[in-house]
Amino acid sequence: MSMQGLTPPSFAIKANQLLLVGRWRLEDLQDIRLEELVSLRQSEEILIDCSELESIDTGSLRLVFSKLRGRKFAFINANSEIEPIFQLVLKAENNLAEQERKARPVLTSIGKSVLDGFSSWLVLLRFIGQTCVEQARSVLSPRQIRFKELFVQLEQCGLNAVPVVSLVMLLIGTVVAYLFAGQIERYGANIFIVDGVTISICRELSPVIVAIIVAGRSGSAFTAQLGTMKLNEEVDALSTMGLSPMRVLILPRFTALIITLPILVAVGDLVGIFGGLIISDSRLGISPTTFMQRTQEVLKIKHVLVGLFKAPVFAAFIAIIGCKMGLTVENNARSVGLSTTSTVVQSIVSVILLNAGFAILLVELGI
Amino acid sequence: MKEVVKLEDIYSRYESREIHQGISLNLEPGKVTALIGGSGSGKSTLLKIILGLLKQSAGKVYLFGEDSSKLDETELQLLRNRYGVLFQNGALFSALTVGENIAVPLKEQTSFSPSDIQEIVALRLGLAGLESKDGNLMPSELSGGMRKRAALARALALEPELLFLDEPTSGLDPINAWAFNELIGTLSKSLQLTVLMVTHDLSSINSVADRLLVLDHGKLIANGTVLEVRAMDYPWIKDYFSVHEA
Repeated sequence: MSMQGLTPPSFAIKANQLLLVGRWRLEDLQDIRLEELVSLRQSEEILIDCSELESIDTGSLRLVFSKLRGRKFAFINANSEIEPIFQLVLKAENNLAEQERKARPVLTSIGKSVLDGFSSWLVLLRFIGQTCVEQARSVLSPRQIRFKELFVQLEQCGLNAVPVVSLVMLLIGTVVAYLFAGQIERYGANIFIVDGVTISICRELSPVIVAIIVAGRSGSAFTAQLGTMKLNEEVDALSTMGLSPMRVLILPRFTALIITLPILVAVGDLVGIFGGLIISDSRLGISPTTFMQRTQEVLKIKHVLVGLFKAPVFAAFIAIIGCKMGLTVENNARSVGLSTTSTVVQSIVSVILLNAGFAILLVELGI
Repeated sequence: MKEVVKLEDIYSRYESREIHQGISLNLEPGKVTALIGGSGSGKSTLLKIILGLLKQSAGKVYLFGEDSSKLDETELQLLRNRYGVLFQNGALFSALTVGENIAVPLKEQTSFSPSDIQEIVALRLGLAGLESKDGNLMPSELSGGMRKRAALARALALEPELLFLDEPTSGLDPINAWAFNELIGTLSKSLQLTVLMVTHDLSSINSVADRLLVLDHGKLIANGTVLEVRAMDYPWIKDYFSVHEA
């Protein structure tokens, strides 16, 4: 590293000799046409002359070597600074392996994704089974229920969700009322706004929208919490202390969500109807008293019960998907993010599918 | 000899706590310098200040003779290309294979063809003591020792003159740690690298370090060759060496 000139890198080819000139640095090499070195491949043995080489780095040397691959070569006039670099690169050259092709043929990847999907369904089924067995066991012997964890989850999934559920359902109630008001006014059937708003909110809107909020809020939280605990080996630590992760981690979440979702739906019903009430008063001049009287007449208890009955089913799906995705996180941080995203998508899709199923079933049953 | 890293009177604080109180040093080019100090003495913070990831409250950082606070983004990038960093846990990008990780700086900062980049990636893997087929693995599939080697390969990608190592042997078993120290020693000698390593590991100091910096209570209490520092009569230094020799 003593006095270095700044001669740009270049090379000259003479018969089977390669003369390297100047200071070879990887960053200066991009403008040099190293491909010409390939012409040297004709000769049996190549002599690399370093007499005019000021310095060379490992990357540059590797690129030179790569153009001469398959030929024998030797160095002449290498000084004491350059020699160790040659040795280093030659040693690294030895363990050059074949490039593995990463891309799989189409059929293989189709087959693999089908098998993967199938096995992940099996895992899900097994998980549902375990949850049900443990749940039944804890109902039979209530002393095993982890009340502390359960109440923490009830607070986090239930109480803490009340503000956002109320805000969203209030706005949904007003928007639905606005839509109805515009149509109904034209027929002078103002009072029917009450039927439309209350029934649609209690039967469909509140259960589905609250379930979607909870899927985004609690389902993703379950996956992220359990996934991080798994990464941090906390789940293994629990097992070694004789605590079943199923009982300590999964059941409290599962139970809490099944208890809180119907309550949140009921809150959503009330707030949504209240939103409709405000708009009916301001847009159509239906007084709150009239609105409430009419609600009592038209909103049959079965509409409310249908909504409240759907909620625990949605809750069971959200909790099971969230917990299962959390416990199947792989051993890296990226996997937590992927699983969390996947939880939210899977839960929302299943809530909507289930709701469609319920709609058809209930209509067929005439409820 | 040109100066590589120079600190002038660095002060820094975290919330109300003073971390560094007037640190000045000048790394000797072509030498391996180890920075030691108790937990919470500000070793890693000092490294982050040198790298520009944290801002000092007073004082100047010179990299390759340039005041890094006066440079614009393009000039800074040119400086960054001249040093490599090995983070404590490797900091390999988890979405990319090891080979792609090493190719990131090459793709971003050079205009080599993909096949040339593959050549350089294979070389870096070889230099770090990995096989070329290890380049196809994902970081999550690596053992602790391989992870450090892969991260070292990425740090070497752009042919740096200066290498920062944050706890290079932490989490490695003694045999792997020894091998990794040997590797760093060989590379720094033959590539004439200037190395600054933050470490706790006495075996790293004994096997590769030429010089030793000691941080205690926010001050640089020692700066000299390993033998000079060992002979100093300062409580923390005496404790450090005696604990290891007991």
